[in-house]
Amino acid sequence: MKWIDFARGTLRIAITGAYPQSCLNRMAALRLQFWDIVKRNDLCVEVTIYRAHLKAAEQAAGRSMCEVTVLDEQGILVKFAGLRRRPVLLLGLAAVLALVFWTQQFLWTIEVEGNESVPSDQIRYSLAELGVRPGVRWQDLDPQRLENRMLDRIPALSWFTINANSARATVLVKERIPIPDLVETREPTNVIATQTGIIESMEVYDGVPMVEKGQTVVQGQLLVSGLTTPWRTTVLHHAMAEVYARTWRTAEMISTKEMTAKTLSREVQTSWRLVVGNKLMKISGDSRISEAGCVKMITSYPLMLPGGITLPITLERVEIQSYTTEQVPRDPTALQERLMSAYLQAVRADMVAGLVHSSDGTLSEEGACWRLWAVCECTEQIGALSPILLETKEDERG
Amino acid sequence: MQKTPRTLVALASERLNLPAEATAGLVKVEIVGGRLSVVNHKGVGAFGPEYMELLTREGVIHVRGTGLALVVMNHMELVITGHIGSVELP
Repeated sequence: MKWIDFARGTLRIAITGAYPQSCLNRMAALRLQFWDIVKRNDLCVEVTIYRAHLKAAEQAAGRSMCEVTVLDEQGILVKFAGLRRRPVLLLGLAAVLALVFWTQQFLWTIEVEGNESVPSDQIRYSLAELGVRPGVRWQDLDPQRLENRMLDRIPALSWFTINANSARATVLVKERIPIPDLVETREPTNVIATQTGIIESMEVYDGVPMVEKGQTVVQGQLLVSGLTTPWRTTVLHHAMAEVYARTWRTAEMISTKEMTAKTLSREVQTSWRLVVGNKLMKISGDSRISEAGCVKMITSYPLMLPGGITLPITLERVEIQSYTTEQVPRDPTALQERLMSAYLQAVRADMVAGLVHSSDGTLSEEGACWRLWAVCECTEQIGALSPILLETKEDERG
Repeated sequence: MQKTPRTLVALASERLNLPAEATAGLVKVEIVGGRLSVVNHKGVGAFGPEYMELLTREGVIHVRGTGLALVVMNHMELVITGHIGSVELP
């Protein structure tokens, strides 16, 4: 059935009489639409008409000495006829539709696109300070004013715009490209070693190499000199080089033997609350911590639409548990793992470039402490620029 | 013979190469495969799966065949489908 027929509603009628064809002729002359004409017998013809044409069809049948009987009804009114007996449901449907239309004029979600290093939360927080937050009317937003203020608040952004459409706003940003570090090549420098190690590779861009591959160097040793003396003159260079060496880094870490551990009680106080936008609504229980020595855990269940769109409506479960503290001995194995992991992280952060080949640690007991002695073998870039200090003698200037 | 206004209209339509069924209200009968279409009809007389009478201004068109069905009927056009054996024009 076509949608238009469904919306208008159709009736399947039977025209009964001595000469049902005359009724069909009258209906055609009256420009009444009918279709699916089926002749049951000499005295009965079935057709389908629109519900609105029933009265006219009955009049045409009356004039043709025929009778019209409705056999079947189809259409939207038949489909939802049961709703007439449920006025509250109808009212509820109408209220929901009205609510949907009314809420469309407010902003509910703000999405940020185009950012890489600037966190989306920072952008949302800055927008909230400027009055752009879930629950405001999106027609009141002034993109030009927001752009000027946001670029002023977050200097890392070079371009900003906001597109608000119905309940959703999309913030598009572009970050500034940071100015690269300029290398001052006029300053005379040497390249010295930052770590003790064995040279594995050297790539000298400027200056005179003072060491070679396979040589052992100590921290602070001159690797590449920026001073040259060609043809009895002295020329100062800005020495530059990449020197990779095999190094062995060591460290000593100390930790107490005991630590403070929390033991949670079995009793859990649970409460529920609903968060709509920025508004908090208590549903049940009390989510406040009434005494010291309690842990509060909040589990959030945001309302999401199909397609991954998150609405600013979140159901939160708050669980409060009290705890007692006590001193417990540290597990040596876990302690060693944790300390080694932190140590390797620090080594990698300290390196200019390179990698860690292997690491090892020894944990020993010393009184009330654990002492970890760690060593790691690395290949890293150890060359660093060191300015050449020039002294001028006053008596020569004299 | 004095030409009636309708006849004059029909003649003019023919001379001017205009569709006569649209201008003069003449009957147009079109058969395409198993589909018979009649424009400017006056209704149906008898109709059944083997015989149908179509009323027009010029007279009655008798349609004989098998499996005849009246599929479309409105104030302008009437369409019959089925295996059309013969069509007698008035």
